[in-house]
Amino acid sequence: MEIRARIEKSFGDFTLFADFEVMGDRIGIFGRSGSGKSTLVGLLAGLDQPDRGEIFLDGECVFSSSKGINVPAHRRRVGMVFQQPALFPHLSVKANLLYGFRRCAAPHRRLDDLELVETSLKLEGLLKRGVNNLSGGEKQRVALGRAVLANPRLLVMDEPLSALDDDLKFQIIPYIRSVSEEFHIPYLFISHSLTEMRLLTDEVIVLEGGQVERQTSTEMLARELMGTGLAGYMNA
Amino acid sequence: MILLNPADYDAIRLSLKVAFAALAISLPFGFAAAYLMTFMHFRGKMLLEVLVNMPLTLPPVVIGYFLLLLLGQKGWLGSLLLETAGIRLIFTWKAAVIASAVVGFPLLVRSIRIGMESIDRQIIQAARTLGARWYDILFTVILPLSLRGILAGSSLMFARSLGEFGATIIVAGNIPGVTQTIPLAIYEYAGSPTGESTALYLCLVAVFISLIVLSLHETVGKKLTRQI
Repeated sequence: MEIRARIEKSFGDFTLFADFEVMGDRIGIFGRSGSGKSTLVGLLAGLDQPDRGEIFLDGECVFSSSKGINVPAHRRRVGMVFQQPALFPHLSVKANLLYGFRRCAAPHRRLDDLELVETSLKLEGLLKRGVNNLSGGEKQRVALGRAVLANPRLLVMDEPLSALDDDLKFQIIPYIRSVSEEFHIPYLFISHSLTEMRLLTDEVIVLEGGQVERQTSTEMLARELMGTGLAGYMNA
Repeated sequence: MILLNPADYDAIRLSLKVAFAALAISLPFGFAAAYLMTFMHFRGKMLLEVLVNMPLTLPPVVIGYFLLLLLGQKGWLGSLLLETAGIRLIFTWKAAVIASAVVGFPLLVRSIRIGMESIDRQIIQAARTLGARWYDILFTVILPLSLRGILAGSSLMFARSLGEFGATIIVAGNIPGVTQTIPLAIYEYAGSPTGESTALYLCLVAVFISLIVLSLHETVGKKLTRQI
């Protein structure tokens, strides 16, 4: 996946200016709280509109203020997993999983995909349950499966582990890895935790104060932060 | 033993008919107004909010008088309906429905809006990224998650319609068997030296209907809470 963006968005006193070009299947966006990570991914997914600029996903222009292009979120094929699972509370687990599948599934996709998601994310025993009766980890697995089944070209995960305790985090991480490996879906993983970044990403964009501070490999970033003693802070 | 005469039974039937009809015609518009005010940003939104809520702050008699000006034979809508379709609204049960609908509309909209505002915006964002267009989200996410608000608004509006007096007496009059609802019948009996017991009996009927409405609201509301 290649992502090219040069966009600007202002909210009150805060301005996000993101200018980057990144290629890879396991990309991270790293930064402290308030650095603009969630704003950036909202713009990439089409949930919000930049004030100006351009966004290209795999060479396709999905937003251009100068050309008047703005592919809406429902056609942009960028899946989202939020910090809170944002499941549909009135639907069962199975209905949640099928929500995007029914609307976005490409012709070549069959119900086998549903079975594969169920087994990969260990959701078989949960399908008939209401989502309010699930644990935090189960909810996040359903949210992940629901996004995968909508056939996204890019899966954006906006701090999906930050609301979970450490045990649950390490249970979910293998599932996220399997998404990339079994379904061949590139992902953009957003976090302020260096540990999560090291486990889940290869390439990372560092945001600071609404700007791209640098773009580097995750291992390089980890070595630098550990050298400066900032790693513990960024794991908070 | 207190006996009700046929006109009193008509008043009970008419009250229920007016309340159901007012609710039925208001629900789609109330849902649309609540949706616009909750999820849309547009010029004139403030004006819409003021117009929707105005009946709450106006005396019902004033609303009734404005409706009389609008729907009367010389009113622009009343004369238009009469000339084009031969429909006369004033002093019919339909006028009572319109009066009840206008007076109860803000209660309906406010409750639905509270229900819509309680929906987590990320759920709607998730639906968008899952390929749903706005109308799809409206029917598959917003409507089912607003059901408690719709129920609360419907109960309030129904109860308000049952008790509507001021606007109704102006536009529909107080004609026994034709436009006389329970409150209008009570008003007439309360002013009559022999009608005190019948007035009280009709009050008890109104209390009984209110209890049924509230019980239904509680029962269905709890069922919805368990589902969502």
